[in-house]
Amino acid sequence: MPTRKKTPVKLGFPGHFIETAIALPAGEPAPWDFGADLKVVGTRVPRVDGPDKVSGRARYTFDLSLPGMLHAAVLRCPHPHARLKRIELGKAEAHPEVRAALVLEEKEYRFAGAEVAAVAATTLAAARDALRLIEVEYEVLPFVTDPEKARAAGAPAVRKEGNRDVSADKHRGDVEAGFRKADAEVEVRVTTPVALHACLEGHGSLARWEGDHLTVWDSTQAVFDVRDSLAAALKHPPAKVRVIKDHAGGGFGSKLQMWTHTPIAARLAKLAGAPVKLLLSRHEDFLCTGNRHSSVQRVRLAARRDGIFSAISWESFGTGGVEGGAQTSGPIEGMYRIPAVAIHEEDVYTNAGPACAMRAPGHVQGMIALEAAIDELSDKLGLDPLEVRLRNDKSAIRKAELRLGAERFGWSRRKPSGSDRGALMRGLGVAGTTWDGSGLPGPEVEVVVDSDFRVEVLCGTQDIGTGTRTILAQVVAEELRIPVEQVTVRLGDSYFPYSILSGGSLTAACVTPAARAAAVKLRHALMRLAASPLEADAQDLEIEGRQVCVPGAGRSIAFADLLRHPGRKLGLKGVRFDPGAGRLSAIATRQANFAGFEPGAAGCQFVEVEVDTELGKIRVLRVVAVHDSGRILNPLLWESQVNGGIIQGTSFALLEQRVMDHRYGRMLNADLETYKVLGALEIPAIEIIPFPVAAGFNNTQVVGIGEPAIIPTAATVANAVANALGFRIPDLPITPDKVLDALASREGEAP
Amino acid sequence: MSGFEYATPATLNEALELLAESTAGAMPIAGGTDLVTQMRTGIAAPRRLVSLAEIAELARLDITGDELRAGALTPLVRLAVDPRIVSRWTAFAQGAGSAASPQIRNAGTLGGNLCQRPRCWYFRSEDFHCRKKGGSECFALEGENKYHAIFGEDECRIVHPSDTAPALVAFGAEVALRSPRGERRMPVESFFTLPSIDVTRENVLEKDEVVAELRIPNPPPGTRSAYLKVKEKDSFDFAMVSCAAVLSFDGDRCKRARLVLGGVAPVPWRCAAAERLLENHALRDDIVAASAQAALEGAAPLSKNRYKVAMAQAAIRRVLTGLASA
Repeated sequence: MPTRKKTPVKLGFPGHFIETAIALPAGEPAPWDFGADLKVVGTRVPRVDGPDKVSGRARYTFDLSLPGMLHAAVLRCPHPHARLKRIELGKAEAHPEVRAALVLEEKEYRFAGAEVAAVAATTLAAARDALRLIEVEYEVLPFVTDPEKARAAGAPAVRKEGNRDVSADKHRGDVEAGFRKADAEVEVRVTTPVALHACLEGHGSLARWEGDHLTVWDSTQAVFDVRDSLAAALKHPPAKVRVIKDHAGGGFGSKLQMWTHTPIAARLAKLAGAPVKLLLSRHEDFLCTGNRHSSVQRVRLAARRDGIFSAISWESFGTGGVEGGAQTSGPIEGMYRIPAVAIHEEDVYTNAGPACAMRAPGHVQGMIALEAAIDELSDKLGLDPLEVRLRNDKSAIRKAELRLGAERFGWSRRKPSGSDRGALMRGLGVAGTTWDGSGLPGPEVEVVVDSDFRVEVLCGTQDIGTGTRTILAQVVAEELRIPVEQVTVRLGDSYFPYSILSGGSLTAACVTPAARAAAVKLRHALMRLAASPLEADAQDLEIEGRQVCVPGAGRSIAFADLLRHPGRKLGLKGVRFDPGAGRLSAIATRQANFAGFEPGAAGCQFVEVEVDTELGKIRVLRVVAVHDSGRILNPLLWESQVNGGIIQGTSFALLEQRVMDHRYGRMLNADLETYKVLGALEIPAIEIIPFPVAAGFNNTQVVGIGEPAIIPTAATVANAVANALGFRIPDLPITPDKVLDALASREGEAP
Repeated sequence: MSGFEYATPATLNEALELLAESTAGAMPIAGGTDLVTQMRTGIAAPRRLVSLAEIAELARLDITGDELRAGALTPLVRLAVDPRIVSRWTAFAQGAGSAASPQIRNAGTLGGNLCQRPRCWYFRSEDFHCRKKGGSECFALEGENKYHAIFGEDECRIVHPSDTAPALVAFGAEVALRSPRGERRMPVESFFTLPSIDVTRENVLEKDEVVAELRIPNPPPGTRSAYLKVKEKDSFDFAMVSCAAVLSFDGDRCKRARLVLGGVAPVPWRCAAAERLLENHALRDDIVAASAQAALEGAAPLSKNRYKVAMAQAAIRRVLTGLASA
């Protein structure tokens, strides 16, 4: 390996810059400096697909229709736990409009809503009618949906391995000593409910076979993962499966994996010899395609008199229904210096719909307990909770953000908890965030230019509503020195260059560096092509309009002439030149992360609430959010992400919860009336303060913002409510009934 | 959803015939904001829908010196914004304006708001064959009953979902029903029925009968009214608790009081004892508190809705205090 010259880089933020050096791989452009003079990147470019979306031209999976297409419907097990005894499709198959029917291989159903059989018919109404013609008998089995009961000895077994699974049992430092030597300790117990992703666009797939070649239009955040899972489910070669996702109406993690309806659509399409569309209703979506796991967290936190933490003990369990993954301790190690840590976490399996990743999985829940404990401990020590955070925080960025936010928010107005009087009590709260969305290597982006100087960007990533299309167009426009409108970005197709799933706040940090590298490569190739006809050095040339020119020399060459140049050859790696077609393209791969300033993103939020102690209602009046995510590529889209995080977080704090009737194992609120999602009138005034950082990590210096923005909100709201009331409502969501019940029971206890 | 016939008669008589002649079950439809969702989930499966939308005589809105006459087809939004209604029948306008969402208030009608079915999630779910659907159990009694009734009978613990009904009862409004047998009129208060009368229904309406018109008398001079609806989610929600009050004052003394709660019982819940405590008194804090206390006497909350007692008392106090100082 030849040793490369190291490239100096300056990381950090004003007042906290550090100088370091990185080894750039071949072909990789050096990171844009903190103060780089960029023309398109960093500006408020409106979403490139905005006009298509608001005019209805944008086509979602639900909008698609193919000639001869059939509609499918799924028979779902009504019992929380049952085994199939007998099923007879004959009458359904005899329905005049039914073209195919199938029974799923799985014969034991572990939650109400699990797929049993499916039919495809010429209309959706006929498909649903035909479901009623299926004769089915179940052996109903014992079930448990209440996680507390599921943990108990003798509970009905949700799975063979048992209902409890220890997912973490970690110790660091001398925990016992940490508590023994502390001046104060608190214990908080908080619970969070199962929440639902509630994407505007539900789940659905449209499958078409052409010979042995399968194309699926899927409502997904992960075309390549769905391709591979689908190929495996059908025992079909992945190369003969194509998955397409053009526009998406949200995912929040519920579309990171293939769900059962996708292979059902493909199998029905094969059986019927016609394309099959299978769209889930909102009800089905809420039962079967994921949720945020619940949590019961018991946290002990200890500190010295000056607020310096000495130990934490974290016990947590939660249920993801028939799935695991219910951890909450994620934020502990990332944020504060705590010398001794004990963590014990359990997944509890219940006969309920499966959990999956949901926007900052575990972190949203865990932050509520962690930040609650800090506030309680601060109150106990008589210290300002902001000051306690500043004394323990590991992150230079977050400390600067906390100070900036406190100033803008007016944190000094905060009164001691419980000191407000009257029917309407005000409270202030603060919480921090941490999330590593610094990106991963692997994704590829191709940039193509033709002789009309139309620029196309191709990448298999998905734009799930975050603005991926727009930021890719900006980065490429920046490097080619062209207007953003000249760039067309094509995404969401497993035939395009590989990219990872759109989750984990990874997308921007994964694909924009590859797009930039490809655009730089393409520009070099153009200059190389133009150098000899213009009799100039490649590095002296510039793109202007539809030409390459020698600035100041009056010499230029049109793209049409440059690219339609039979016989020309370019020996550049990763560049394809097709002079016949007048087409030049460059492809680049996202390289491994460089050293960063701090891991991922920090950030913090401040909230003011008003608690109506007579009606029990809580209004979140104002949020001040300070966030960093490396370079902000487009403030308009970035603010939209932060707004969305705060809204979704407020909704989780105040309203959202799956309600199960544990006696019957059924979900009661699988609809958008009774599963309440924050609406326009409940949205607080939001003030967003961007905190740009030279983060390192990659050549665009971007870090994801999707998840950092939701993590602190519910924690902050819960802390603000506790500040107002003088006691904590430990169970989320903090609904009026809980506020009134808590006030009544305290009144009952008062002497 | 099963297939059905759809008829659009131009007159009420035609509509009544179409409803009466269908043996397989016909239902009238106006805005459809509730009925269509019932049909989607299989709670209602009419073979024939008779649209009332084209019937001009049901869409009249007349205000005379004596009364407000509102046809059943009047959209909620119109009741909410008409300045004459807002000033004279304030609680009624506020009730209409607090229902659902702007889109639903545009499509939803007054008649539909009164005849809508309850929101109880056991009733609305295909998984539960509850008493209201002909089953033998009210699942709310021992189940998830946070949104259920604190008054009424254990037969069925639904709450009536209408936001216009409490004010209509409080104003002493009358409802006119039409059937092939002619017209009958009754106070809105007796239109609604408790589950013990017939658990499968919420009112006296016969299958071939429709709500034609509401008549609300002109309140006496010195009357002030208000409707307060406590929602978990302000943007769009049914009432956890609501309170309509119509008070007639002579100076600062309350001469006549009508107090009706929503969200607490299977019918709009008239608080007669609380009304008596207000009459012939200035609404001092102690009178208001005593009245609010009396209004909730006899409440029998379930495991998860005890909060409604405190919430309803607070809502009453707030409404009364607001009206006393208006």
